[in-house]
Amino acid sequence: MKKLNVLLVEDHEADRRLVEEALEDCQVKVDLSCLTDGEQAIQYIQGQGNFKGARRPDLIILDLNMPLKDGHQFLDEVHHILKEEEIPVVLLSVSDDPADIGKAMDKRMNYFMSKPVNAGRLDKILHAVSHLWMPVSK
Amino acid sequence: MNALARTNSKSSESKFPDMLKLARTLTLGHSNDLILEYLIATLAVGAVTYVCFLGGEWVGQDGAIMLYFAATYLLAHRSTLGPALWACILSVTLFDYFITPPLFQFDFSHGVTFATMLVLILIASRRTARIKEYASSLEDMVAQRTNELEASNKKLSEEVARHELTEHKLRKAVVELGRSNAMLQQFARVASHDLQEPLRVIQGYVGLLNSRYTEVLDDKGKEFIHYIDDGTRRMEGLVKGILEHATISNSTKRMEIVPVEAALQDACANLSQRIEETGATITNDQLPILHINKIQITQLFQNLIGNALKFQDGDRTLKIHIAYKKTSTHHRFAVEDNGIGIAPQYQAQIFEMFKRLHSSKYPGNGLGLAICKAIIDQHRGRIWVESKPGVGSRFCFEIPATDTTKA
Repeated sequence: MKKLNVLLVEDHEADRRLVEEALEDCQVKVDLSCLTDGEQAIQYIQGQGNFKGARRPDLIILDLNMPLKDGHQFLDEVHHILKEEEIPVVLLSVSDDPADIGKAMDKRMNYFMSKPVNAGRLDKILHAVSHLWMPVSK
Repeated sequence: MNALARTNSKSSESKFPDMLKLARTLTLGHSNDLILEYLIATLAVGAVTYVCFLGGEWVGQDGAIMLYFAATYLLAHRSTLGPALWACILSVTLFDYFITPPLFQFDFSHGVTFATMLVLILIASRRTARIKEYASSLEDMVAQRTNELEASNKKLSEEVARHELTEHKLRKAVVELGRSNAMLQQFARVASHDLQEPLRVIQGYVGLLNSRYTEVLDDKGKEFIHYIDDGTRRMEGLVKGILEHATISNSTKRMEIVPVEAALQDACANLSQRIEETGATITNDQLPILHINKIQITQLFQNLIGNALKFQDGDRTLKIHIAYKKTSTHHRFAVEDNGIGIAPQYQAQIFEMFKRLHSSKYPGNGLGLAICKAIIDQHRGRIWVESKPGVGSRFCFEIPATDTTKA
Protein backbone atom coordinates (compact mmCIF):
# COMPACT_ATOMS: atom_id res chain seq x y z
CA MET A 1 0.00 0.00 0.00
CA LYS A 2 1.29 3.40 -0.95
CA LYS A 3 1.96 5.96 1.76
CA LEU A 4 -0.60 8.74 1.99
CA ASN A 5 0.39 12.40 2.16
CA VAL A 6 -1.51 13.90 5.04
CA LEU A 7 -1.59 17.58 5.92
CA LEU A 8 -2.42 18.34 9.55
CA VAL A 9 -3.48 21.88 10.42
CA GLU A 10 -3.56 22.23 14.21
CA ASP A 11 -2.22 24.98 16.46
CA HIS A 12 -1.94 23.15 19.81
CA GLU A 13 1.15 21.00 20.15
CA ALA A 14 -0.57 18.62 22.56
CA ASP A 15 -3.34 17.94 20.03
CA ARG A 16 -0.82 17.52 17.24
CA ARG A 17 1.01 14.83 19.20
CA LEU A 18 -2.27 13.02 19.83
CA VAL A 19 -2.97 12.88 16.08
CA GLU A 20 0.59 11.70 15.42
CA GLU A 21 0.25 8.92 17.99
CA ALA A 22 -3.13 7.89 16.60
CA LEU A 23 -1.67 7.74 13.09
CA GLU A 24 1.10 5.48 14.33
CA ASP A 25 -1.52 3.00 15.44
CA CYS A 26 -3.11 2.94 11.98
CA GLN A 27 -2.50 0.22 9.39
CA VAL A 28 -2.28 2.74 6.59
CA LYS A 29 1.03 4.58 6.72
CA VAL A 30 1.27 8.33 6.22
CA ASP A 31 3.78 11.07 5.49
CA LEU A 32 2.66 13.84 7.79
CA SER A 33 3.10 17.57 7.19
CA CYS A 34 2.07 19.96 9.94
CA LEU A 35 0.97 23.58 9.88
CA THR A 36 -0.09 25.70 12.83
CA ASP A 37 -2.69 28.12 11.51
CA GLY A 38 -5.27 28.69 8.79
CA GLU A 39 -3.23 31.41 7.08
CA GLN A 40 -0.34 29.04 6.46
CA ALA A 41 -2.72 26.30 5.32
CA ILE A 42 -4.28 28.56 2.69
CA GLN A 43 -0.84 29.46 1.32
CA TYR A 44 0.15 25.78 1.27
CA ILE A 45 -2.91 24.73 -0.75
CA GLN A 46 -2.50 27.66 -3.13
CA GLY A 47 1.17 26.82 -3.54
CA GLN A 48 2.24 30.33 -2.57
CA GLY A 49 5.11 31.88 -0.72
CA ASN A 50 7.17 29.40 1.28
CA PHE A 51 5.06 26.55 0.00
CA LYS A 52 5.76 26.79 -3.73
CA GLY A 53 5.89 23.33 -5.19
CA ALA A 54 4.54 21.67 -2.09
CA ARG A 55 3.14 18.19 -2.43
CA ARG A 56 -0.58 17.88 -2.97
CA PRO A 57 -1.98 16.22 0.15
CA ASP A 58 -4.18 13.11 -0.18
CA LEU A 59 -6.05 14.07 2.98
CA ILE A 60 -6.30 17.16 5.16
CA ILE A 61 -6.96 16.92 8.88
CA LEU A 62 -8.18 20.35 9.93
CA ASP A 63 -8.77 21.84 13.35
CA LEU A 64 -11.70 24.25 13.35
CA ASN A 65 -10.56 26.38 16.27
CA MET A 66 -7.38 28.23 15.39
CA PRO A 67 -6.03 31.74 15.85
CA LEU A 68 -5.80 34.18 12.92
CA LYS A 69 -7.74 32.33 10.19
CA ASP A 70 -9.69 29.43 11.64
CA GLY A 71 -10.85 26.18 9.99
CA HIS A 72 -14.11 27.65 8.67
CA GLN A 73 -12.29 30.53 6.98
CA PHE A 74 -9.73 28.15 5.43
CA LEU A 75 -12.55 26.10 3.90
CA ASP A 76 -14.31 29.21 2.62
CA GLU A 77 -11.19 30.40 0.82
CA VAL A 78 -9.91 27.21 -0.81
CA HIS A 79 -12.89 24.90 -1.23
CA HIS A 80 -12.83 25.32 -5.00
CA ILE A 81 -9.23 24.04 -5.11
CA LEU A 82 -10.11 21.18 -2.77
CA LYS A 83 -13.05 20.26 -4.97
CA GLU A 84 -11.01 20.44 -8.16
CA GLU A 85 -8.16 18.41 -6.72
CA GLU A 86 -10.61 16.10 -4.95
CA ILE A 87 -8.91 16.37 -1.57
CA PRO A 88 -11.06 15.08 1.28
CA VAL A 89 -11.02 16.88 4.60
CA VAL A 90 -11.47 15.58 8.13
CA LEU A 91 -12.65 18.31 10.47
CA LEU A 92 -11.62 18.21 14.10
CA SER A 93 -13.46 19.98 16.86
CA VAL A 94 -13.85 19.87 20.58
CA SER A 95 -17.57 20.22 20.37
CA ASP A 96 -20.20 17.75 19.28
CA ASP A 97 -22.68 20.59 19.13
CA PRO A 98 -25.05 19.79 16.24
CA ALA A 99 -24.85 23.42 15.13
CA ASP A 100 -21.07 23.26 14.68
CA ILE A 101 -21.27 19.91 12.85
CA GLY A 102 -24.05 21.25 10.65
CA LYS A 103 -22.05 24.33 9.79
CA ALA A 104 -19.06 22.20 8.78
CA MET A 105 -21.12 19.75 6.74
CA ASP A 106 -22.80 22.70 5.01
CA LYS A 107 -19.51 23.21 3.26
CA ARG A 108 -19.91 19.64 1.99
CA MET A 109 -16.74 18.41 3.62
CA ASN A 110 -16.29 14.81 4.02
CA TYR A 111 -15.79 13.92 7.65
CA PHE A 112 -16.24 15.34 11.07
CA MET A 113 -14.43 14.00 14.13
CA SER A 114 -14.46 15.23 17.66
CA LYS A 115 -11.26 15.36 19.63
CA PRO A 116 -9.45 13.49 20.94
CA VAL A 117 -9.02 11.51 17.71
CA ASN A 118 -9.64 7.82 17.79
CA ALA A 119 -7.04 5.69 15.96
CA GLY A 120 -9.66 3.16 14.84
CA ARG A 121 -11.89 5.75 13.15
CA LEU A 122 -8.89 7.53 11.64
CA ASP A 123 -7.66 4.27 10.16
CA LYS A 124 -11.02 3.61 8.50
CA ILE A 125 -10.84 7.02 6.86
CA LEU A 126 -7.28 6.43 5.69
CA HIS A 127 -8.33 3.12 4.19
CA ALA A 128 -11.22 4.77 2.38
CA VAL A 129 -8.97 7.48 0.98
CA SER A 130 -6.36 5.06 -0.24
CA HIS A 131 -8.89 2.78 -1.93
CA LEU A 132 -11.45 5.22 -3.27
CA TRP A 133 -9.57 8.39 -4.02
CA MET A 134 -6.20 7.22 -5.08
CA PRO A 135 -7.10 5.93 -8.56
CA VAL A 136 -8.47 9.33 -9.65
CA SER A 137 -5.71 11.51 -8.20
CA LYS A 138 -2.92 12.76 -10.42
CA MET B 1 -79.25 68.88 16.25
CA ASN B 2 -78.37 72.32 17.55
CA ALA B 3 -79.33 73.95 20.79
CA LEU B 4 -81.92 76.14 19.12
CA ALA B 5 -83.89 73.20 17.83
CA ARG B 6 -83.65 71.53 21.21
CA THR B 7 -85.17 74.49 23.07
CA ASN B 8 -87.87 74.68 20.40
CA SER B 9 -88.96 71.12 20.91
CA LYS B 10 -88.74 71.54 24.65
CA SER B 11 -90.83 74.68 24.61
CA SER B 12 -93.48 73.15 22.39
CA GLU B 13 -93.85 70.23 24.78
CA SER B 14 -93.87 72.14 28.03
CA LYS B 15 -96.25 75.02 27.28
CA PHE B 16 -99.54 73.46 28.45
CA PRO B 17 -98.83 72.13 31.93
CA ASP B 18 -97.36 75.33 33.32
CA MET B 19 -99.07 78.74 32.97
CA LEU B 20 -95.91 80.64 33.87
CA LYS B 21 -93.90 78.68 31.36
CA LEU B 22 -96.65 79.43 28.86
CA ALA B 23 -96.46 83.15 29.50
CA ARG B 24 -92.65 83.04 29.18
CA THR B 25 -92.80 81.10 25.99
CA LEU B 26 -95.40 83.41 24.53
CA THR B 27 -93.36 86.50 25.26
CA LEU B 28 -89.74 85.36 25.06
CA GLY B 29 -89.66 81.98 23.42
CA HIS B 30 -89.49 81.15 19.72
CA SER B 31 -92.00 78.98 18.03
CA ASN B 32 -91.77 77.36 14.64
CA ASP B 33 -95.49 77.40 14.34
CA LEU B 34 -96.28 80.39 12.12
CA ILE B 35 -100.04 80.29 12.66
CA LEU B 36 -99.46 80.54 16.38
CA GLU B 37 -97.29 83.57 15.80
CA TYR B 38 -99.99 85.33 13.83
CA LEU B 39 -102.47 84.41 16.48
CA ILE B 40 -100.30 85.82 19.21
CA ALA B 41 -99.76 89.00 17.19
CA THR B 42 -103.51 89.39 16.70
CA LEU B 43 -104.23 88.75 20.35
CA ALA B 44 -101.57 91.19 21.48
CA VAL B 45 -102.80 94.00 19.27
CA GLY B 46 -106.38 93.14 20.23
CA ALA B 47 -105.48 93.29 23.91
CA VAL B 48 -103.86 96.71 23.51
CA THR B 49 -106.95 97.98 21.61
CA TYR B 50 -109.24 96.72 24.36
CA VAL B 51 -107.15 98.40 27.06
CA CYS B 52 -107.05 101.71 25.16
CA PHE B 53 -110.77 101.63 24.37
CA LEU B 54 -111.68 100.96 27.96
CA GLY B 55 -109.15 103.43 29.27
CA GLY B 56 -110.48 106.19 27.06
CA GLU B 57 -109.51 109.71 28.31
CA TRP B 58 -107.11 108.34 30.92
CA VAL B 59 -104.97 106.54 28.28
CA GLY B 60 -105.46 109.13 25.57
CA GLN B 61 -104.42 108.93 21.93
CA ASP B 62 -100.74 109.49 22.67
CA GLY B 63 -100.79 106.75 25.28
CA ALA B 64 -102.50 104.45 22.82
CA ILE B 65 -99.86 105.12 20.20
CA MET B 66 -97.11 104.24 22.67
CA LEU B 67 -98.83 101.02 23.65
CA TYR B 68 -99.24 99.98 20.03
CA PHE B 69 -95.57 100.82 19.37
CA ALA B 70 -94.49 98.76 22.37
CA ALA B 71 -96.58 95.77 21.34
CA THR B 72 -95.41 95.73 17.73
CA TYR B 73 -91.75 96.28 18.75
CA LEU B 74 -91.87 93.38 21.20
CA LEU B 75 -93.49 91.20 18.58
CA ALA B 76 -90.78 92.12 16.07
CA HIS B 77 -88.22 90.86 18.56
CA ARG B 78 -89.75 87.50 19.09
CA SER B 79 -91.28 86.47 15.81
CA THR B 80 -90.50 86.44 12.14
CA LEU B 81 -91.19 89.39 9.90
CA GLY B 82 -94.64 88.23 8.73
CA PRO B 83 -96.52 88.33 12.03
CA ALA B 84 -94.75 91.56 13.00
CA LEU B 85 -95.91 93.27 9.81
CA TRP B 86 -99.42 91.97 10.39
CA ALA B 87 -99.33 93.39 13.90
CA CYS B 88 -98.24 96.75 12.48
CA ILE B 89 -101.04 96.91 9.94
CA LEU B 90 -103.59 95.66 12.45
CA SER B 91 -102.45 98.20 15.04
CA VAL B 92 -102.90 101.17 12.72
CA THR B 93 -106.28 99.90 11.49
CA LEU B 94 -107.67 99.34 14.96
CA PHE B 95 -106.19 102.61 16.17
CA ASP B 96 -107.97 104.39 13.34
CA TYR B 97 -111.26 102.57 13.88
CA PHE B 98 -111.57 102.30 17.62
CA ILE B 99 -109.44 105.02 19.13
CA THR B 100 -109.24 108.15 16.97
CA PRO B 101 -112.35 110.15 16.18
CA PRO B 102 -114.44 109.77 14.24
CA LEU B 103 -114.87 106.44 16.08
CA PHE B 104 -115.94 103.31 14.31
CA GLN B 105 -114.92 104.81 11.02
CA PHE B 106 -111.83 104.48 8.84
CA ASP B 107 -110.29 107.77 7.78
CA PHE B 108 -106.82 106.51 6.81
CA SER B 109 -105.00 109.57 8.11
CA HIS B 110 -102.23 107.89 10.12
CA GLY B 111 -99.62 107.57 7.41
CA VAL B 112 -96.73 108.90 9.55
CA THR B 113 -97.59 106.59 12.44
CA PHE B 114 -97.81 103.64 10.12
CA ALA B 115 -94.56 104.49 8.33
CA THR B 116 -92.61 104.96 11.57
CA MET B 117 -93.94 101.73 13.04
CA LEU B 118 -93.07 99.91 9.84
CA VAL B 119 -89.51 101.17 9.80
CA LEU B 120 -89.02 100.28 13.46
CA ILE B 121 -90.28 96.75 13.12
CA LEU B 122 -88.26 96.19 9.99
CA ILE B 123 -85.08 97.22 11.83
CA ALA B 124 -85.96 95.21 14.93
CA SER B 125 -86.89 92.20 12.85
CA ARG B 126 -83.67 92.29 10.88
CA ARG B 127 -81.62 92.61 14.04
CA THR B 128 -83.44 89.71 15.59
CA ALA B 129 -82.90 87.59 12.50
CA ARG B 130 -79.17 88.35 12.52
CA ILE B 131 -78.84 87.61 16.21
CA LYS B 132 -80.60 84.32 15.68
CA GLU B 133 -78.19 83.57 12.83
CA TYR B 134 -75.12 84.35 14.93
CA ALA B 135 -76.42 82.34 17.86
CA SER B 136 -77.12 79.40 15.58
CA SER B 137 -73.73 79.51 13.89
CA LEU B 138 -72.00 79.93 17.24
CA GLU B 139 -73.79 76.89 18.54
CA ASP B 140 -72.74 74.99 15.43
CA MET B 141 -69.11 76.02 15.96
CA VAL B 142 -69.19 75.08 19.61
CA ALA B 143 -70.66 71.71 18.76
CA GLN B 144 -68.02 71.13 16.11
CA ARG B 145 -65.17 72.16 18.39
CA THR B 146 -66.54 69.97 21.14
CA ASN B 147 -66.56 67.02 18.76
CA GLU B 148 -63.02 67.74 17.68
CA LEU B 149 -61.85 68.03 21.28
CA GLU B 150 -63.52 64.79 22.18
CA ALA B 151 -61.89 63.03 19.26
CA SER B 152 -58.40 64.30 20.09
CA ASN B 153 -58.97 63.59 23.76
CA LYS B 154 -59.81 60.05 22.90
CA LYS B 155 -56.68 59.76 20.78
CA LEU B 156 -54.53 61.21 23.56
CA SER B 157 -55.84 58.86 26.17
CA GLU B 158 -55.26 55.94 23.80
CA GLU B 159 -51.67 57.08 23.35
CA VAL B 160 -51.15 57.50 27.05
CA ALA B 161 -52.48 54.01 27.58
CA ARG B 162 -50.06 52.71 24.92
CA HIS B 163 -47.13 54.50 26.53
CA GLU B 164 -48.04 53.17 29.93
CA LEU B 165 -48.16 49.69 28.51
CA THR B 166 -44.75 50.13 26.89
CA GLU B 167 -43.31 51.51 30.12
CA HIS B 168 -44.71 48.59 32.04
CA LYS B 169 -43.22 46.15 29.54
CA LEU B 170 -39.86 47.93 29.70
CA ARG B 171 -39.82 47.84 33.45
CA LYS B 172 -40.60 44.16 33.41
CA ALA B 173 -37.83 43.57 30.88
CA VAL B 174 -35.32 45.50 33.01
CA VAL B 175 -36.22 43.47 36.08
CA GLU B 176 -35.97 40.28 34.04
CA LEU B 177 -32.56 41.25 32.65
CA GLY B 178 -31.27 42.11 36.10
CA ARG B 179 -32.32 38.71 37.36
CA SER B 180 -30.90 36.82 34.40
CA ASN B 181 -27.62 38.71 34.72
CA ALA B 182 -27.33 37.89 38.38
CA MET B 183 -28.05 34.24 37.64
CA LEU B 184 -25.40 34.07 34.91
CA GLN B 185 -22.79 35.58 37.18
CA GLN B 186 -23.61 33.19 39.94
CA PHE B 187 -23.43 30.34 37.48
CA ALA B 188 -19.99 31.44 36.32
CA ARG B 189 -18.77 31.64 39.90
CA VAL B 190 -20.17 28.30 40.93
CA ALA B 191 -19.03 26.57 37.72
CA SER B 192 -15.49 27.87 38.12
CA HIS B 193 -15.38 26.61 41.68
CA ASP B 194 -16.80 23.22 40.79
CA LEU B 195 -14.56 22.87 37.76
CA GLN B 196 -11.48 23.39 39.87
CA GLU B 197 -12.24 20.30 41.92
CA PRO B 198 -11.64 17.54 39.31
CA LEU B 199 -8.78 19.63 38.01
CA ARG B 200 -7.06 19.32 41.36
CA VAL B 201 -7.57 15.56 41.25
CA ILE B 202 -5.88 15.27 37.87
CA GLN B 203 -3.03 17.54 38.92
CA GLY B 204 -2.58 15.52 42.06
CA TYR B 205 -2.24 12.16 40.31
CA VAL B 206 -0.10 13.55 37.53
CA GLY B 207 2.19 14.82 40.22
CA LEU B 208 2.36 11.32 41.73
CA LEU B 209 3.06 9.70 38.36
CA ASN B 210 5.84 12.22 37.82
CA SER B 211 7.45 11.65 41.18
CA ARG B 212 7.04 7.90 41.55
CA TYR B 213 7.09 6.41 38.06
CA THR B 214 9.67 8.47 36.13
CA GLU B 215 12.15 5.58 35.93
CA VAL B 216 9.50 3.25 34.54
CA LEU B 217 8.43 5.74 31.89
CA ASP B 218 10.17 6.01 28.56
CA ASP B 219 10.67 9.33 26.77
CA LYS B 220 7.28 9.20 25.19
CA GLY B 221 5.66 8.42 28.53
CA LYS B 222 7.37 11.45 30.09
CA GLU B 223 6.26 13.54 27.11
CA PHE B 224 2.67 12.44 27.54
CA ILE B 225 2.70 13.30 31.22
CA HIS B 226 4.11 16.70 30.34
CA TYR B 227 1.19 17.33 28.00
CA ILE B 228 -1.33 16.30 30.69
CA ASP B 229 0.28 18.62 33.18
CA ASP B 230 0.37 21.44 30.67
CA GLY B 231 -3.28 20.88 29.80
CA THR B 232 -4.40 21.02 33.43
CA ARG B 233 -2.39 24.17 34.00
CA ARG B 234 -4.03 25.82 31.03
CA MET B 235 -7.43 24.81 32.29
CA GLU B 236 -6.66 26.22 35.70
CA GLY B 237 -5.76 29.54 34.10
CA LEU B 238 -8.98 29.56 32.09
CA VAL B 239 -11.20 28.68 35.04
CA LYS B 240 -9.57 31.34 37.19
CA GLY B 241 -9.94 33.82 34.36
CA ILE B 242 -13.65 33.07 33.98
CA LEU B 243 -14.09 33.51 37.72
CA GLU B 244 -12.29 36.84 37.63
CA HIS B 245 -14.37 38.02 34.69
CA ALA B 246 -17.63 37.04 36.36
CA THR B 247 -16.90 38.84 39.61
CA ILE B 248 -15.96 42.17 38.11
CA SER B 249 -19.41 43.71 38.18
CA ASN B 250 -19.80 42.69 41.81
CA SER B 251 -17.27 44.99 43.36
CA THR B 252 -18.96 48.36 42.76
CA LYS B 253 -19.11 48.86 46.51
CA ARG B 254 -15.37 49.33 46.68
CA MET B 255 -15.13 52.54 44.66
CA GLU B 256 -12.93 55.11 46.37
CA ILE B 257 -10.91 58.22 45.58
CA VAL B 258 -7.34 57.08 44.91
CA PRO B 259 -4.28 58.27 43.00
CA VAL B 260 -4.10 56.27 39.76
CA GLU B 261 -0.32 56.16 40.21
CA ALA B 262 -0.81 53.94 43.27
CA ALA B 263 -2.66 51.35 41.16
CA LEU B 264 0.13 51.51 38.55
CA GLN B 265 2.80 51.00 41.18
CA ASP B 266 0.99 47.98 42.63
CA ALA B 267 0.74 46.44 39.16
CA CYS B 268 4.45 46.97 38.49
CA ALA B 269 5.30 45.49 41.88
CA ASN B 270 3.34 42.35 40.97
CA LEU B 271 5.23 42.11 37.68
CA SER B 272 8.62 43.10 39.08
CA GLN B 273 10.34 39.81 38.30
CA ARG B 274 9.27 39.75 34.66
CA ILE B 275 10.15 43.44 34.26
CA GLU B 276 13.63 42.73 35.53
CA GLU B 277 14.04 39.67 33.29
CA THR B 278 13.09 41.52 30.13
CA GLY B 279 15.03 44.65 31.06
CA ALA B 280 12.07 46.80 30.15
CA THR B 281 11.79 50.48 31.12
CA ILE B 282 8.43 51.80 32.33
CA THR B 283 7.67 55.54 32.46
CA ASN B 284 4.51 57.52 33.07
CA ASP B 285 2.96 60.99 32.79
CA GLN B 286 1.63 62.65 35.91
CA LEU B 287 -1.53 60.74 36.78
CA PRO B 288 -4.69 62.11 38.42
CA ILE B 289 -6.59 61.17 41.57
CA LEU B 290 -9.89 59.53 40.61
CA HIS B 291 -12.96 57.79 41.97
CA ILE B 292 -12.24 54.20 40.95
CA ASN B 293 -12.04 50.61 42.13
CA LYS B 294 -8.34 50.43 42.99
CA ILE B 295 -8.09 46.63 42.87
CA GLN B 296 -9.66 46.48 39.42
CA ILE B 297 -7.56 49.29 37.95
CA THR B 298 -4.46 47.60 39.34
CA GLN B 299 -5.58 44.41 37.56
CA LEU B 300 -6.14 46.44 34.39
CA PHE B 301 -2.61 47.86 34.43
CA GLN B 302 -1.21 44.46 35.29
CA ASN B 303 -2.91 42.84 32.30
CA LEU B 304 -1.90 45.57 29.85
CA ILE B 305 1.71 45.84 31.03
CA GLY B 306 1.89 42.06 31.26
CA ASN B 307 0.85 41.85 27.61
CA ALA B 308 3.47 44.42 26.64
CA LEU B 309 6.11 42.36 28.43
CA LYS B 310 4.92 39.22 26.66
CA PHE B 311 4.61 40.48 23.11
CA GLN B 312 7.85 42.38 22.87
CA ASP B 313 9.91 42.62 19.72
CA GLY B 314 13.07 40.56 20.09
CA ASP B 315 15.12 43.10 18.13
CA ARG B 316 14.79 46.05 20.49
CA THR B 317 14.63 46.85 24.20
CA LEU B 318 11.10 47.06 25.49
CA LYS B 319 9.94 50.56 26.41
CA ILE B 320 6.56 51.01 28.09
CA HIS B 321 5.01 54.41 28.74
CA ILE B 322 1.72 55.25 30.48
CA ALA B 323 0.29 58.45 29.04
CA TYR B 324 -2.49 60.60 30.46
CA LYS B 325 -4.63 63.35 28.96
CA LYS B 326 -7.73 65.05 30.24
CA THR B 327 -10.34 65.83 27.57
CA SER B 328 -13.45 67.95 28.22
CA THR B 329 -15.47 64.87 29.11
CA HIS B 330 -13.06 62.08 29.99
CA HIS B 331 -9.82 61.03 31.62
CA ARG B 332 -7.87 59.29 28.90
CA PHE B 333 -4.98 56.90 29.52
CA ALA B 334 -2.74 54.93 27.18
CA VAL B 335 -0.30 52.07 27.77
CA GLU B 336 2.20 52.39 24.94
CA ASP B 337 4.84 49.87 23.92
CA ASN B 338 7.28 49.21 21.10
CA GLY B 339 6.42 45.51 20.79
CA ILE B 340 5.27 43.37 17.88
CA GLY B 341 2.03 45.24 17.27
CA ILE B 342 -1.37 43.98 16.13
CA ALA B 343 -2.71 43.84 12.57
CA PRO B 344 -5.77 46.08 11.99
CA GLN B 345 -8.17 43.22 11.20
CA TYR B 346 -7.70 41.76 14.66
CA GLN B 347 -7.77 44.99 16.69
CA ALA B 348 -11.44 44.68 17.61
CA GLN B 349 -11.71 40.96 18.28
CA ILE B 350 -8.86 40.72 20.79
CA PHE B 351 -11.14 42.14 23.50
CA GLU B 352 -13.46 39.15 23.16
CA MET B 353 -13.26 36.28 25.59
CA PHE B 354 -10.82 33.47 24.72
CA LYS B 355 -9.60 35.27 21.62
CA ARG B 356 -5.92 34.64 21.03
CA LEU B 357 -3.78 35.54 18.05
CA HIS B 358 -0.62 33.55 18.67
CA SER B 359 -1.64 30.50 20.66
CA SER B 360 1.36 28.44 19.64
CA LYS B 361 4.11 30.94 20.27
CA TYR B 362 3.01 32.92 23.32
CA PRO B 363 1.34 31.69 26.50
CA GLY B 364 -1.98 33.07 27.71
CA ASN B 365 -5.62 32.14 28.23
CA GLY B 366 -7.24 34.75 25.99
CA LEU B 367 -9.05 36.44 28.89
CA GLY B 368 -6.68 39.27 29.88
CA LEU B 369 -8.11 41.88 27.52
CA ALA B 370 -11.70 40.66 28.03
CA ILE B 371 -11.21 41.29 31.74
CA CYS B 372 -9.78 44.75 31.01
CA LYS B 373 -12.85 45.52 28.93
CA ALA B 374 -15.17 44.31 31.69
CA ILE B 375 -13.36 46.51 34.21
CA ILE B 376 -13.62 49.57 31.96
CA ASP B 377 -17.30 48.83 31.25
CA GLN B 378 -17.81 48.75 35.00
CA HIS B 379 -16.29 52.24 35.20
CA ARG B 380 -18.59 53.36 32.36
CA GLY B 381 -15.69 54.04 30.01
CA ARG B 382 -14.34 52.50 26.86
CA ILE B 383 -11.14 50.73 25.78
CA TRP B 384 -9.53 50.29 22.38
CA VAL B 385 -6.17 49.76 20.71
CA GLU B 386 -4.14 51.70 18.17
CA SER B 387 -1.36 49.61 16.71
CA LYS B 388 0.99 49.00 13.83
CA PRO B 389 2.56 45.57 13.31
CA GLY B 390 6.31 45.76 13.76
CA VAL B 391 6.17 49.19 15.40
CA GLY B 392 4.19 48.83 18.62
CA SER B 393 0.82 49.26 20.28
CA ARG B 394 -1.14 51.85 22.23
CA PHE B 395 -3.84 50.40 24.45
CA CYS B 396 -6.13 53.36 25.28
CA PHE B 397 -8.90 53.58 27.83
CA GLU B 398 -10.94 56.46 29.13
CA ILE B 399 -13.16 57.05 32.14
CA PRO B 400 -15.86 59.75 32.24
CA ALA B 401 -14.94 62.82 34.26
CA THR B 402 -17.52 63.46 36.97
CA ASP B 403 -17.83 65.97 39.78
CA THR B 404 -16.28 63.64 42.29
CA THR B 405 -12.91 63.55 40.53
CA LYS B 406 -9.96 65.82 40.95
CA ALA B 407 -7.35 66.21 38.21
